[in-house]
Amino acid sequence: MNDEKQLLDDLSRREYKWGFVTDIESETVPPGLNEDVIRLISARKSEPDWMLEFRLRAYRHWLTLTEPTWQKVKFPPVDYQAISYYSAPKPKKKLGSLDEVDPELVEAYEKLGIPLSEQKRLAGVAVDAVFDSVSVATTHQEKLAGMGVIFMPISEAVQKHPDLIRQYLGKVVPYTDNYYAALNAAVFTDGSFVYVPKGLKCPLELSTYFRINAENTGQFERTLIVADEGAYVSYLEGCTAPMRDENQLHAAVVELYAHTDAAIKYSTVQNWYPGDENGKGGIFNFVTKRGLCAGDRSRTSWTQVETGSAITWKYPSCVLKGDDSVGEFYSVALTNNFQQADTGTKMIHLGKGTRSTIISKGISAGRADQSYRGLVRMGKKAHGARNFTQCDSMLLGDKCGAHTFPYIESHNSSAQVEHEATTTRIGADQIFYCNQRGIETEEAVGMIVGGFCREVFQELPMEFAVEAQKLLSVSLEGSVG
Amino acid sequence: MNSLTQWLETPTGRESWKYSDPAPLTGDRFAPFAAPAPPAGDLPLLPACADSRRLVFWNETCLADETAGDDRSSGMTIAALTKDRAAPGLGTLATDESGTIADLNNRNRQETLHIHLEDGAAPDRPLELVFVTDDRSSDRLVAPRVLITAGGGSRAVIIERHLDLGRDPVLNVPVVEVLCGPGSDITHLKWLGNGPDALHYGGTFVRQDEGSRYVSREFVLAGHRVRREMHLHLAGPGASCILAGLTLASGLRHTDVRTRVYHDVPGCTTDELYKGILIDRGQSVFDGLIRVAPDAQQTGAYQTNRNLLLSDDAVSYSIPRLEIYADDVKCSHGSTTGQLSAEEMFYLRSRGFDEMMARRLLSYAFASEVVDQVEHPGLREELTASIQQILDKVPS
Repeated sequence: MNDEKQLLDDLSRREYKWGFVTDIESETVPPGLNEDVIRLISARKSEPDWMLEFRLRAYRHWLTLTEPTWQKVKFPPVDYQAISYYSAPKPKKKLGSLDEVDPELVEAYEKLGIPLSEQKRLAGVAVDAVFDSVSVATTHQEKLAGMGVIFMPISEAVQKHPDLIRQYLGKVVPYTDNYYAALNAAVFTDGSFVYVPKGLKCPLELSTYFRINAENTGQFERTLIVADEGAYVSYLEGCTAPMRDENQLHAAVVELYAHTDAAIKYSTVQNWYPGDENGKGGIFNFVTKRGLCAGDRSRTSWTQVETGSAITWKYPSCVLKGDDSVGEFYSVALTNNFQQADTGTKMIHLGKGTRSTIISKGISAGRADQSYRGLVRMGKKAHGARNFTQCDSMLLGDKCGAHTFPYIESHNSSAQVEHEATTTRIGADQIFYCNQRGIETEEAVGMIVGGFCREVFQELPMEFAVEAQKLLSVSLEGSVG
Repeated sequence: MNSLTQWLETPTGRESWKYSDPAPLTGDRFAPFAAPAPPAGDLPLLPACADSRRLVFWNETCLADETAGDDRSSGMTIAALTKDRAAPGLGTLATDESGTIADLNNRNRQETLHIHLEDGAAPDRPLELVFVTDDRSSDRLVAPRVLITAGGGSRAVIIERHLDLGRDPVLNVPVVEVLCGPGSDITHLKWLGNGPDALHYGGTFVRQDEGSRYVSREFVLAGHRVRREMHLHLAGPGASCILAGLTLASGLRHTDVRTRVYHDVPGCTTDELYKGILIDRGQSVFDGLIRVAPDAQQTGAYQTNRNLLLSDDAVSYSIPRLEIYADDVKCSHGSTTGQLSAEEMFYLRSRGFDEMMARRLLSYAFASEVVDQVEHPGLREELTASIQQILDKVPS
């Protein structure tokens, strides 16, 4: 028992390896939010008038909203006037090629294990690196452009492909959607834009790496991915932040738009700074993510591994509008110390024969609190639609909590919905079984947790699966239920 | 604006009534009786009752103790308390804060029926409480209140029935509080056969002491708008509860079953099974929560909700919730919603059943999982007949 306690204590003291701060000269606007700040952001990005109009409409709508309070997480009120809404590393000169990226930035990303130079480890992955408010580098752009794939910072896409942006921006997550989506629409600074043309299976994994560096800033990125008819794209997202005592807000919006026969796979390994063992500091990760299966037989898939953030509060969702379209959600969420997570998904079945799968695995340790909250709605016309949901929770320690709040609404008799959930801890018998066969307790826990999460990990692209496994083993070092 | 309306505006209030309409509770259409209404005229004729002791209530007033007498010595005492008389335990569970229904009942009840079981009491017959309203109760708010205090080691079967025989709507807001003493064993059957226009918003509030067992079997077979709430605290180690329910909603009926089970101490178990059959434009809501408090270790809690949609216009909402703060627990829940299995239909069709027969048979089989558990044979038969009668009207 003492060993177990010791191991649990070790777990709570695990270190966050990505907590360094890069000393880089940035241009940061003073804290505060008003129409002038929005005009400034828009001007800084040399945006066309319609974009500024979009931002201002969103801002004016945001002013009419109040912060939601229904979520099962507690946090001190966010002072939206104390946040700086724009921070960018000062460019030394106009970039000609990737080799000219500020060496300090390259070094920062090297430290994070994200090489910006093309030949390195992730050779099969194109990376868009977002540092605070702006995208600093996008790799493999030429190769992708040759195939007709557009992969660039969204701010650049506003200039180069205004028609596409106007056509799709805010179509899946309108600024009226919720409080944070409205805020994001008003002040978003950068993010990635992906367009995969008809019939193309994008041969590279596309990836964005988000990094918050500057103090007292929020990160509001916006990602828009469009897969035209018959196209396929796999997109990865990673994120880290320095260790700070103050909470920082991250309110992103991700929109996926899949046309007929198209498929989009979106994977996240979220590792924002979770705060220290006393719950001080950390990122508030309040994100709106939604995929629209607009065309028949289209598919959107969310895979997420959530180990960071003081608070994770998001519901990557799928709107299954096209007939026979498919939505998937695979999630592993690990919370430790004072971390809180209220996460899950929504599957809105509108078309005939639509199918969705939800696999959610929650692991709670320390004094963490975690909830799965999900909605499965079978619309009136969703004939023969199917959903299967499984959400399992594992508790490590007796001070943490694990909760499940599924909402299941069925308006069609031929639709089938199944939901099941379990909550357990690692049994002493399981540990004993492993010990008996010469496996140390720590390793046994790793194995059992690995097995618990396997269904989700196997959905991740190769590089990410390795990273996720590593992340989980670091996070769980020495834990015993 | 009264406190109820205000509460309904809060996030908790809105969430609590997300899928149902609380309007009948907040409006002023339904007025309570000013004083305990004495019976006038003849009593409606009720089906004969074979072997239970039966108390009949007209609105809130006890009219007749039809078959009293021989079990006075069994340790069970029954008393009607006027509004100003308190009984130990009354109002401790259904407090004004415990939600809309308790609040309404507390404000409007006239009399409280107090059923007390002495330590070790074990009446050999079930006690049947029949709450009847008729045309004389039109547009009235009827708030019957029952308090059951079960002494240590006592055993009893209580049957609670609600019948609305009038043509116009009545708003029923019954509340039953059950205090289960150590080692007691209480079976509580609830049968709602309200009239087609009845509005029924009822609550059961239970607290279980060490080693007690509480079994609830609830049948919601009629009523225009029905909401049933169950608030149950497992407050003594080793207590166990079984909660089962069946809802049949046809026509334009809307039913809402809400269970809140609190595991406050270690070593308790919950086994919950709620089923719903939706016909025509019927709607059902199941919202079940099991909360395991910190340190309530060795908890076993299982919750299942199954819904069968027999028509394209039927709607079901299912929200099975788990809130767990202790690690050495085994908790699970499951929820399914769908139609009759095509394979099962085919099996019966290939053996000569016509489509309608096959559907009825399978629907009845779906219901029987809950009905068959009713221990009391006479009641089981009556329930079976009622359910069959409803299912026989299902169009194929």
